[in-house]
Amino acid sequence: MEAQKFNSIFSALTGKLYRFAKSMLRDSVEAEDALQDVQLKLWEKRSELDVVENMDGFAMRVMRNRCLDIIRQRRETSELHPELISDHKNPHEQAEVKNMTERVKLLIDRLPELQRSIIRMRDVEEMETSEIAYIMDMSENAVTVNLSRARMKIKTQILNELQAENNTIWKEQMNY
Amino acid sequence: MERADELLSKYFGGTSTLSEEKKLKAYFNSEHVSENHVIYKPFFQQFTAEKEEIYPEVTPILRTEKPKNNRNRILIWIISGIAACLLAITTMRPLMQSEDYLIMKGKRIDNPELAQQIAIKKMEKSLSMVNRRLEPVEKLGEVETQLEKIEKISQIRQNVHNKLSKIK
Repeated sequence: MEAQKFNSIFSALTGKLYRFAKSMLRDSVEAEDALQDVQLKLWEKRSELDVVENMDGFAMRVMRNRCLDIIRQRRETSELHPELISDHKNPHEQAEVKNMTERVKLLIDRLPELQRSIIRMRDVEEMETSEIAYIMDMSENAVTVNLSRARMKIKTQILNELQAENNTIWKEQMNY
Repeated sequence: MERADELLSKYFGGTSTLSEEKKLKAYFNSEHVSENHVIYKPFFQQFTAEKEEIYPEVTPILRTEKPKNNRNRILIWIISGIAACLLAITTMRPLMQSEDYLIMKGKRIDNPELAQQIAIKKMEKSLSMVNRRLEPVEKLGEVETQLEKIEKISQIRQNVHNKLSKIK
């Protein structure tokens, strides 16, 4: 595969791959590094790419493996990282996230890696269940189950938070 | 949206299709969301916002020369070629040397001088056999000469006889 053709294919995938890496790693700098790593890896394998039927799925799978490697390295070095500390945001920080849309983003980021990846592949990238199953190396049924769980978790959290907000407003009004 | 509740139920159950989900996204990104559905609006808006997020541009690959793994492949081909040549030479060598030996009564004689001597002896023996066979033929020739002599004598006799008869 010529460099020009490769660049054209890869540039069409860049956004999808970056968002996927950022979702998995929860770090934009590491996601950029992973993106470059995947670009080089695919370039090295470019002779095999001509026979790949689902280029998007194949590239996403390569990216997932790269992200898993990075996560593994993090665990080995035991560095404090956003992924490890993101679940421990203090109430003050949480309160800062006032915008409801950003709150949803935060809730998605708090999901386990598997559910986080699946919900974003489906709801952001609009990928078919079969494609997600291929990338995640699991059955379509398992994808459906994890997708449902992820969506239900966020829904429950949103409803709980709204309920808590309403209770606070109601209490304030009562005190007033 | 008439089927919003039904589609939402399918959506949270993970059983909705992509086209149904697109309908839901369009509904929640519109301004006609019913009050009982408003709580789900940020949920769907977040996904749209994430997709519009700016991502970094990757430097395109400009390299045109063959990558390292291709060079390695060529190197492997060259080494394999050399190995094949060496193997061919090693295998062919005894065959190429086969001109320098002689099989004599089932025995291999590698010494070329000895083989030559044996070959000359064999040829001499064959020649002597041929000569011996030709000996009777040579004797036949002698007989023929003798007979020719006898024939000439009879002719002389005849001539003398003729001349004598004329004189008479």
